Amino acid sequence: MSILPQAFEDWTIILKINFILSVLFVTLALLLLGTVLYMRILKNRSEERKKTLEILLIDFVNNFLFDEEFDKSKNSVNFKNKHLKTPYDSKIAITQILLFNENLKGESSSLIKELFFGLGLYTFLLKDLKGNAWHKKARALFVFNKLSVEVPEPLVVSQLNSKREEARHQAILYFINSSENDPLSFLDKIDTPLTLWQQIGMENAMKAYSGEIPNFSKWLNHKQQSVVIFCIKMIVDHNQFENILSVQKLVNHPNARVRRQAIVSLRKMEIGEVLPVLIKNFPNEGPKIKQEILKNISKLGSEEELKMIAPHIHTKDRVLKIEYLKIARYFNPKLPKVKKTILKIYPPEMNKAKYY
Amino acid sequence: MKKKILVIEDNPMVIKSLEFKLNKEGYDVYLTADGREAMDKLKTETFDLVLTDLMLPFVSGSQLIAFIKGEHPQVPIIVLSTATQEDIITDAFTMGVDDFITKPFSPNELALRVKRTLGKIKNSN
Amino acid sequence: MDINFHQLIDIASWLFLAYGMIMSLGYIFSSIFSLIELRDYKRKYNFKDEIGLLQSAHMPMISLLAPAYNEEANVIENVKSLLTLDYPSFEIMVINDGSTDHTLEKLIHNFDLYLDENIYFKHVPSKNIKGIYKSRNKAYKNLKIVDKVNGGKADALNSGINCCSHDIICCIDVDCVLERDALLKLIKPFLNNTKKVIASGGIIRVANSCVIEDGRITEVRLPDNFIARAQILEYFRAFLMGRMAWSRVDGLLLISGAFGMFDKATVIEAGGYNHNTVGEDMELLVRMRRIMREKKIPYTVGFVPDPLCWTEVPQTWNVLYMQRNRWTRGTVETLNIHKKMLFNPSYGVLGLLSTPYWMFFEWFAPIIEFFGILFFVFLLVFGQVNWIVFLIFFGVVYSFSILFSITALFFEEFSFQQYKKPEYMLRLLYTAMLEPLIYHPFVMWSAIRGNLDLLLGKKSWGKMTRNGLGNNVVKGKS
Repeated sequence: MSILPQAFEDWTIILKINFILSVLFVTLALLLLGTVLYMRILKNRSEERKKTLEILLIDFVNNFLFDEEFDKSKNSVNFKNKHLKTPYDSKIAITQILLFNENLKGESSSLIKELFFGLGLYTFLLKDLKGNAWHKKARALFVFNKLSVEVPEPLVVSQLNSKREEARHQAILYFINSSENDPLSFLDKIDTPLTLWQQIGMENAMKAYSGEIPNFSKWLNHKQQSVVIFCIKMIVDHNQFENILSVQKLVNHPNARVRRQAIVSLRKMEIGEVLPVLIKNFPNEGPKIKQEILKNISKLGSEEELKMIAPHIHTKDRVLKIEYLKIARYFNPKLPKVKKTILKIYPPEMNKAKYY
Repeated sequence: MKKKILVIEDNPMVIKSLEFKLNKEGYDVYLTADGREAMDKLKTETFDLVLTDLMLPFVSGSQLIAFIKGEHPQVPIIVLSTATQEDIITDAFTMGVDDFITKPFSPNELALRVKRTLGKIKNSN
Repeated sequence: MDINFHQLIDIASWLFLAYGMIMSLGYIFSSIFSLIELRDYKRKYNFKDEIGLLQSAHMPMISLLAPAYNEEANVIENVKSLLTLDYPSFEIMVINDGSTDHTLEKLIHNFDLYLDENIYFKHVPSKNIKGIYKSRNKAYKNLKIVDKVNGGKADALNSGINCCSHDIICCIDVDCVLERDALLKLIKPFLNNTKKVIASGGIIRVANSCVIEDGRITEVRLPDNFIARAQILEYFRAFLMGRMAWSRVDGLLLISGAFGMFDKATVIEAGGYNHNTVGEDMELLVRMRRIMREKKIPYTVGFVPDPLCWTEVPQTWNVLYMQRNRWTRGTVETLNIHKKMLFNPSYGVLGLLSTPYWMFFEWFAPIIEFFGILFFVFLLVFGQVNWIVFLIFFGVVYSFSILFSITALFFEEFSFQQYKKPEYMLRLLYTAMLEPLIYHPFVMWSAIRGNLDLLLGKKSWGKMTRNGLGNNVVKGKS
């Protein structure tokens, strides 16, 4: 320290700055390195803790489930006090209980639930659900839903329109699984669009739903188009033929995506009656819907109906044209082959975009 | 004498539960986590029943079933698997499996089916 | 003379400092953003509900496009491993880009293929397709082989786009090792958004020295080869810190050609891959973003930090040189094609942040460094080097690069630590200390040569790398 300052005084400002920066960087690097090593050790330690606790848990749960002489309530309290000291411990316990729940059914399911309460995990998660962190809330709902544990409804309702997609998702699944006879009543309270991911979750939940499947046409006028689309899909999946008329009307819906889903679904349900309307609408639809209409004609219509739309396919709509020719040949295999027709005209945007 | 059951399953939680439950029911339970180990065990010892998963590391469940049916055709096999598709279950039965239990399973029901399968074999002998 | 030297050194020093400050600030910001994004991602995907996805009939269907050029040695195994990916509905399109070996014959023989007569439409420019093959075996019903005239990677991918049937395409290098759930994870941004998603990309991991069984990574090991190890650090920095941060501000400009998913309609609208650049993967995404922006359609690009795709990186200086040379040319070409976006506020984050970043940090950085070294040599020749000054300047640069690498190690630890042995961490630290002295100058030199080659209009390199398509030359640039 006695030599450095002397030389330091003589240095130009720029050297000083650089020197200080070097020292700063080295210190930061060392600090960070320490953090990384510390994290590594911590992680290894918690991994170890996880392993020991898991073994204890598996043993305990097995005793709880299969040993008739086991004092359930007393041992639960003991186990909780002795082994579940930190939130991390509780999380490991929850994961194990979910695993048991996933693999066992019948009489074990209710015992697992009993254990969940016995270990104080319900209280633990309820606190999370009442807290502020969205990821904890979502996680809590996820567990409640998996174990079919009921929680005060207002706590879940508030998550239906949460800012975070994941919290909304779990709230939706919770409502479907916990409802006895009206699994989709929550749809009335939804004012955010459903993502595809949520729709897939809902679809799976509906498949597993044991109560009566609701009439999906109830929500075909919902203000969220994604809800309408979901319900159209569900009408097909659950074969609700009584709702075909309502779906048919949707081919004139103002929203293009709803119209498209209706056309696709009508094709899946093999409803040919609506073809005249589709043919009438054809000239005014966009290219995507036009393609869907073509597919409907191919599956449910005739050559005559195909010819009716021919005048509305412009030569510049190459993709449509080729689709049309394919279907024409499908109806009438005597038509000349088009297999070697490789069209080399790119969409107009292409010319702009290609090479600037 | 206690009946010997070989259990092949790679999920540690499930295998522990099976061991626990079947021990309680009074069986001798031998555990393996993969198909390769199971084959080695089957070569040196005889069992009264095999309880196996279909998705196993190294040697798949169906390979294992084929092996048992070839080497020890008298040993009954119960499959415990997540497969819910019809074709997988039918395939297992055509290979000569005695029973098929889908996960999630009820431990009591499983114990019952094990007992029934063992009983059937005794009667037919 | 003496005074002039001093003034020169002074100016150079200040310039150096200013540039260094900008760089450091950039890195600090990117670390912060990346940290937030990573934390968010980990929280978001806390639930293991893939099984539900696997059963769903409403999942978007995916076409997997894998170009192959002279891959006869591994193509069968690679395709078999692709066939076992977990996803409810997808097709695999292997595009045989006019291989001169027995790639096609091997595929036909192994998978019992027949020539399928079908019409396809040329949405995007590509060379002639000789035929599309399908399998007679039901087990391979989602496998298609496109046989075409050789045209390079961009052309092969375009042919795949023209022939494939689904709305989402996933472009991969055929020799990549994918995790089983790679498609399920990569599709999530498409499902999880209320905005339109045009693409999503993943992290590329270094597969060198890892244990691979049946087309899956079964044990992650740290390579003994220094070049490969240096690239591990480099990929940490590029993916975990760089792209993660860009994803946070939705300014991601590059999705690796080795593993990326795209909305087919948008790709076609943009015109497909560009044949005229060696950086076709970057150029495509930039063009797609540009078109969306110009059409004023709200959209986003997803990024998935899970380790999903493992790839062999160059282990020799020569191959590394060719790869980096090509990356440089790709970057410069892309920036040149889209120079209109640079500093253009009407392109938002892309115009004001992403493209300038690429210009200053990716394109100019090696050049400025190179001039710095030249200047030093110049001083050396004239005996004007003040060694204390030199040491201090060197110290600041060196300590910063070490800090940067350690930050990257921190991010690895924080995200999805793959190198679990503490011994590995120490070896990576050791690599980090050597890297700025040996590896970095070489990469810089490759970049300089890339610039020169481009300037001199050397096209021959393009051909050479084309031969190496999917072979050793791996894409995964920052």
